[in-house]
Amino acid sequence: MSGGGPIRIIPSGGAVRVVGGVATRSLVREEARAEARRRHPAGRGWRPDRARMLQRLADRAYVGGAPWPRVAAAVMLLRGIAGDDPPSFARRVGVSATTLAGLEAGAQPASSVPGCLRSLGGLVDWTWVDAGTRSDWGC
Amino acid sequence: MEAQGCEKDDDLEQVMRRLAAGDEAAVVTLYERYGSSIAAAVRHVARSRPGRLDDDDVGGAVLDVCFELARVAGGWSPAGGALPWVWARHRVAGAVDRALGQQPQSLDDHRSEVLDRLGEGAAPGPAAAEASLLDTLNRLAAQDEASRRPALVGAAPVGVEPSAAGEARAVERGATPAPDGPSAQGPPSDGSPPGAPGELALVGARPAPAAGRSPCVPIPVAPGSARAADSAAERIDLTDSRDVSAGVGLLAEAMDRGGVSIRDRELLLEYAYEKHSGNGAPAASVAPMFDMLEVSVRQAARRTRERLLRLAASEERFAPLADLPLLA
Repeated sequence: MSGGGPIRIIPSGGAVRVVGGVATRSLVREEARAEARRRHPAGRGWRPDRARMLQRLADRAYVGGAPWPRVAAAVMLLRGIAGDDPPSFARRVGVSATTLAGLEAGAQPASSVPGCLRSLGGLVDWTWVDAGTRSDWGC
Repeated sequence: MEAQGCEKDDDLEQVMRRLAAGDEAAVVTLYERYGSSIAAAVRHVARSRPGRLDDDDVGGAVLDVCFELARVAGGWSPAGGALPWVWARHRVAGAVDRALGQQPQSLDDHRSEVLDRLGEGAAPGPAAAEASLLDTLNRLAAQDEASRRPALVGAAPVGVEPSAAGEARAVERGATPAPDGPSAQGPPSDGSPPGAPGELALVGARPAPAAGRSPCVPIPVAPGSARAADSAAERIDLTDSRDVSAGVGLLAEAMDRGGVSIRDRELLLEYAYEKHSGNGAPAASVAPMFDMLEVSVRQAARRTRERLLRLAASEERFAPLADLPLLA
């Protein structure tokens, strides 16, 4: 806690957090809003379906003629989740912008994907990416 | 978790800018950060539609909306104040409709009634909702008789009661049927009884044209068949509006003489109506009315035309009929 403002209790999922102070005022407000949105019936029950998004991106890459559509989809998904533009993401993962562009175009095989991306767990099923080439598309 | 507050607005603008620039990864960003808001918009639209979307459908629709927003991101401006999925609400609605597909709806009484009427219209013969040309002409004839305007139709011979359906028949017709009437000309081509002598009809006015039809080509018709009947030597100029009405009476009589059945009369009128309205395939339009094949419609219309033209060629009195567009 910081500052000497009133202590406030905000819901945070199933737990309760105690925060206080002027410096945390915006945090309190925004977290409360986020929690309210989470609890609101209109937004309830929806979670990003990354596998579905991945498949959709792969389909688009396949239609676009990419030799490795699943690689393109996986890299694009990860950059999208990060919210980076291509140069920023290339720096983040330690590859050149050209390499990244090639990966996102599906022009390079799964073996070209940087290890730091492969080490991300839970976002992409790399087995699915490794198993798919353009020739066996449609499975 | 979604971005929040002013930061959220800035973030959204940035995402939309990336989308507008063609960065496909920004679709993922939009989906990840604003998916729940888009899902709320999807559910809001879905509530106004019949049918229900389950969570899986909503997820698919949200994806669709994200990709749709990517296509139109260049047109969105934060200055407008609307969120992209509100600004593009019609695309959201389109995604919802695609997810819902076609929805069956129970029929209420009104809809059932409308469908029943449509069903009647599909039955052989002219649609119930739209009077046939013959009926129309007969009704107009009755009105014309009352107003002393030229009647459009001949009537049943004197002494013949109007039809049970209450059809008003003009009874001005002075000409009696020719003694060698229909029977002398052979049986009707379709086996149905020929129209009662003098009962008839020619094209002309028709009520408001049905939807999809061009306005009818007016061929004024008339009553005054007495004139046509008794003036064998008198030539009728069908291009003269004063004589056209007499020509119609003449045609009616010719149909009697030719033994043209009621069905064939009506078929010829409908066929001519469609043809002169600009319908390139009149038989295709007329065939369902009479539950006939198109080729049969064409043949029936041709037979009737030829029968009348033979009559026009053989008897000078009917010669003017050869000039009628109806028989062209």
